[in-house]
This record gives sequence, C-alpha cells and structure tokens, in this order.
Amino acid sequence: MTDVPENRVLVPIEVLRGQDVPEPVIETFSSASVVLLGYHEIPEQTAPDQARMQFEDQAQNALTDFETAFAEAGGDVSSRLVFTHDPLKTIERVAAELECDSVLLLNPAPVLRQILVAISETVNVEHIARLVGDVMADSDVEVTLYHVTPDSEERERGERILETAAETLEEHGIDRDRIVKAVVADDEPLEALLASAENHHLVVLGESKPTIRERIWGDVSETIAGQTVNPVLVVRRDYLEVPEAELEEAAGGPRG
Amino acid sequence: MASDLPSEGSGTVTDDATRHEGGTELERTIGLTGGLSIGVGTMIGAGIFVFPGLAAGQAGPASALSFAIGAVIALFVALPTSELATAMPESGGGYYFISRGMGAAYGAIVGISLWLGLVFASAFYLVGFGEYAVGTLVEAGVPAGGGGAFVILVGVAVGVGLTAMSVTGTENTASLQNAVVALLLGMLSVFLLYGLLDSFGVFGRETVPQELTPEGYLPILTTAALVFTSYLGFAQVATVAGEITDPGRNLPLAMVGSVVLVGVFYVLTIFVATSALGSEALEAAGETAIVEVAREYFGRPGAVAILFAGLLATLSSANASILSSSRALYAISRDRIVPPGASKVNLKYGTPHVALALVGGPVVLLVTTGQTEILAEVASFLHLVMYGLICVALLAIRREDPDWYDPDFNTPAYPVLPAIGAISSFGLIAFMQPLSQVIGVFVMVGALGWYLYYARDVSLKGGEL
Repeated sequence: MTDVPENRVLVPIEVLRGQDVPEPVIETFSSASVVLLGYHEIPEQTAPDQARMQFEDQAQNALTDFETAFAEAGGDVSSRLVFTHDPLKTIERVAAELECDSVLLLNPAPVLRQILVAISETVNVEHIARLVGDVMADSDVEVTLYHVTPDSEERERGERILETAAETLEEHGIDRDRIVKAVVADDEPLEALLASAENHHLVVLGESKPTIRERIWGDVSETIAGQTVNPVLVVRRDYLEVPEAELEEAAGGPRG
Repeated sequence: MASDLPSEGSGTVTDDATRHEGGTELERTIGLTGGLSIGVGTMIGAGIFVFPGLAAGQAGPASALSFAIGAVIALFVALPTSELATAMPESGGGYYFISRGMGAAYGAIVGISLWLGLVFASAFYLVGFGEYAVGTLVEAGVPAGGGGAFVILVGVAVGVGLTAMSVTGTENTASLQNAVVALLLGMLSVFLLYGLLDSFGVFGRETVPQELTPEGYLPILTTAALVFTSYLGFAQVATVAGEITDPGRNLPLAMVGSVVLVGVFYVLTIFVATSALGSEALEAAGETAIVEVAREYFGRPGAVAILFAGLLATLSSANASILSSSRALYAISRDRIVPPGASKVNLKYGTPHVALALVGGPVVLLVTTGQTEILAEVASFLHLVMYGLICVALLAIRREDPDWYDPDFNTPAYPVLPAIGAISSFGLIAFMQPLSQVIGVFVMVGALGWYLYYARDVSLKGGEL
C-alpha cells in the first residue's frame, strides 16, 4: 500500500516540569515517526522571551535526552521547543504544521501490553485502525476495540463498526488472536470508557468535533487524558473526516 | 547570519510564533480581541471614571474638545507606532523602536521613563480605585471617615494585593480582562445612548444650558495635557507585540482601533455629563462625577452600576499598567541597560518577581501622595516624551532605510503625520502644571545619569550591530 501516509505522532512534553516519557512508550512508538514537542507554559505576566533567555538551555538539554532515547530505540525522531502562554494552541499549531496525524498525551505507563481503542461511529474507523496497526504491528500488544452505545438495540451496529476496524487491523499486521472486540451499552459513555481504561495501558481515541461545550471546557480527549492514568493517543480530527456516504456505508446503511 | 534583524533577541517572525536561531519557538497567543482588550482595558479606567469632573471643572463643556485633541495626538502617534511595531514585532514597544532607531542613550532615557511612567499611571489608577471604594461605602450608608486617608489606604492595599497576585498567580487572566472590557463597553453604551437622546431633548427634560468655554481657550489645552493619561494604553499593545498573532494585521488594528474607540467614548461622556449636570456640579463631585451623572438619569441603581463599573475599570487599568511596567523593565534589562537580575523569572510560578517588586514598591509609595492630577500628568509627561521620540525614530529609520526594515503597515501622509505627531506630543508637555514638569524632567535626567554611570558601553542602534 503505497498511498498510506506515514504515521507521524506528536508527543508534547512539559519539559521543565519533570514530565517523563515512559520506557515502554519509547519502545512501542519507535516504529512511528515521532516529533517531540518540548514546551514550557509561562503565565501572562511573563514575556515568552524572558522565560526563553533563562530556561532555554535547561529545556533544550532535557529535550535532547528524550530525543536520544527515542533514537537509541531505533526510532525516527525530531524535536521542537516552544515557550508558550497557551500549550493547547501550540500543540494544535505544531501538529498541523508538521502534519502529525496523532498526538500522544503522556501519562506514566510502567508496561504497555494492552491498549484500548475507542471507536465511535462518527469517525474514520479505518484511519484509526490503520494507524494502530502500523504502530503496534511489531510489538506484542493486545488491542481491545471498544464501542459504547447508549442504547442496547444499537449493539449489532456497534459490532459491525468494530468488525470493520478489526479487518483493517489484521491487514496491518495485528493477528486476530491479539484483537478483542467489546461493545458496551451504557448511558454515560465517558464514564464507561474511563472505567474500561483502568484495565489497559494506553487509550487510543479520535479527536471529536468540538461542540460549544467542548470549546469552553476543553476537548473530550483532554478530559480523558486528565482523568485516566494512561497515556492517550489522540487521532487528529483532520484525518478522521469522511464523506457522509462512506460513513453510512461503513456503518451498514443510513441510520433509522 | 540567520537573522537580519537588529538584535540578538529577534528571530524569524511568523503569524503564530517567533522562531529563534537554534530552533526554539515563542508562541504568539494574543489575537485581535486580546490586543484591543489590552488597549481599551488600560485606557478606559481614566478617561471616563476619573477625569470628567476634573476636566469639566477646568475647561467647562469645552473639555470634550480637550479629549478630542488628546485622541488626535494619540492617533498621530499610534499610526507611526503601528508601522514600527509591524517592522519589529518584539516585546518592549516604544523603548525597542527608539533604542534600535536612535541608539542606547535615547533608549535608556525612554526605557527608564516608560517603567516609571507606568508606575505613575498605576498609582493614579489606584487612587482612582480608592475614590470609587469610598464612593461605594458612602452609597452603602457607611460614613467613610477621613475620606482622603481612606482612599490612600485602599489604594495601597490593592496595590500590594495586585503585585502579590501578579507574582504568584498563574491563572490566565486574559479572558477575564476581555470579559471586563466587554461588560464596561456594554454598560457605557447604554448609559451614553440614553444620555445623548436626553441631551437632544428627546425626553423633554431641560438640559443645563451653559457657555461652551466658560474659562476661555487656554484651559482647553491644559486640560488636554491633564487628561492625556486617558490615552496611554495603545502603546501597551506594542509592549506585547512579540505575543500578538498575525502582527502585520492585528497590531495596527488593535492600536488604532483602541484609540478611536476610547476617544469616541470619552468625547461623548463629557458631552453627556456636562449636559446633564453642568460643569460646576461635576467639579464639585470630583473624581467620581460620572456617578452623579448616572444618578441624574437612572437614580440610585444607575449610581450603583457606575460605581461598580468604576471599581472594575480602575482596577483593570491599574493591573494592566503594572504588568506593562514590568515588561518595560524586562526590555531594558534584556539589553543590559539595567542589571539582568531585574527581569529574573522564578521557576515555581514562572513570573518575573524582581521586576514586579520594582514596579509594585514605587507604585504603593506614590499612592500615598494621593495626588491624582500630579500622578496623571507625570505619567503623561513620561509617555509623551516617548511618543514624540517614536515619531522621530520613524523619521530617522525611514531616512536611513536599513535592510532589515520592512514594515507591513505604512504610516499614511509620511513625513507630515509623524512630524506633527512629534511636535504635538512635545508641545502638549508645555501645558502641564510646573510641578509635573519638574518631576518629569527630574526622572529623565536621572535616567540619563544612570545610563552614563551604568550602561555607557551598551550599543543598540540597528545599524551598529
């Protein structure tokens, strides 16, 4: 498949606050192209340049250490260092500039053997599955494909979506015996996802289209990253949009 | 050389970031709304909530003209400042342009004057805040014993509080500032619209008939010099030029836009205030005269609303000025005009605690004088010198036309407009009280003395690097 875009993962690191990149994350993601985004958040009282003059060397050294660790694990890695008042804006800008299709929000991960891939019906299932497959093919992680529906009658529909994902994963090097499918009926999708995440070591989800509420209170993926103890791989919105017709086809006909 | 700009502090400018040699980037995070909010938020506290009574007392209804003159001068400076800022979108604003265009000696005088000018301005706003605090107490039926002393007490306490919050607070206050500015503009629009309709007799009420210039023509100019403090905010937009997104577009719009916006509000406010109450009643009401105007129109609820707005506006202006002053100190310490320790940032809060203390300390000291008019005039004096020199710097840089100079925005009517800007800025100083002039000159001579003593070997002019 020559038309498959290179998987490029942006890894933001709050570099002067002692944030660490877990060893298993470095190993697993050495199969992708990784951009380390070292950032330092500064309050509005301070000019970014003022902080740069004082902390640039310290920050650059810390970032270089991480870069070396990725390179030694055999990864294709590069880095950027940004001083910013607004890390979210910085992460979005750099991700767009460098055409990263996903962003890895770090959390501690002592091991990385089981990952949870949340699949909703509004996103490009195949893109997420392809990305996960490409990154995880050489590892021995187990992938749980996960779909929450508020209505138990929608179960079958969920199964279909997950089957599509499983097929794509298989095409991209993940054997069937490493794939688990889970359709869960729950009124509180977010809570259910967080509960399931506890038994896994990494969560993969698609960035949702921001609703007004999310614009104000932050994206769901950020919320999950803040509430779970796992790293979260967010597949960026730009890579998830699919034409309406294709979406219907993938889900097995228009919704009743 | 990767950088062809005139300083080691500069780098490649894009719409969203500045990229330095070595690859480190500084994110730009303030958009047009944020820029306008800095400009308007800094200015609106003074012109509407402190000056109307003082100005009407001096020049009568013609004080509306004084505000208009101030707006025109500010505009003549805002346009050249916009051009320079789009060519050098860096922290430091006026200081940066003058030091790069005219050399370190002028830079030192302007940089130190800007720091202290903003200290005077902050103290002025805090005294204004104190007046509103007393007004609020009186309204609530609490006898504010010892009036003046209480004003100072409140001003000092709030000055200490704001400084401490700036050092330890890492919450983002920008969105709060935007909300405050939007709320103030909304309230004032309702108030002014009603007042205007009333002034033209729509509600059939008698307005106070009065001669336009009861005190003659000279007070129009002296009042313009006094109230010019109401226009000090637009240059604060330039002090955060390094953080403005799409600087080529947003900087000129934010600076010129905020001057025009507050100028219109000021002129209308004075017109409405003098029509409603007459200059003598306004003068008697002093710093909180606008509260009495609101009472005239809307009764007690109007007075309470404007008291509340006045507290918000003076507080937001004081806070913005303290932060700008600390930025000014950073800019001169970056260039080694004052010791670099002055802009040290602590890792715990990420704030420049030394600079903030060097601002907050003198501010509190000045608040204890309680001299609204002197504080305002000295602040204006020190800013007007910088404004005049900004115009001169534009003329100087355009004449030399160095390779690095490539502004996105060009001043219209060059060279006439910047020349008028320079002459009128310097000219306005002549109409101030002698004491303000003496203090202003004293600060500038002190700054020059400091330069000769400490920073003589600093070279900053664009061409010299």
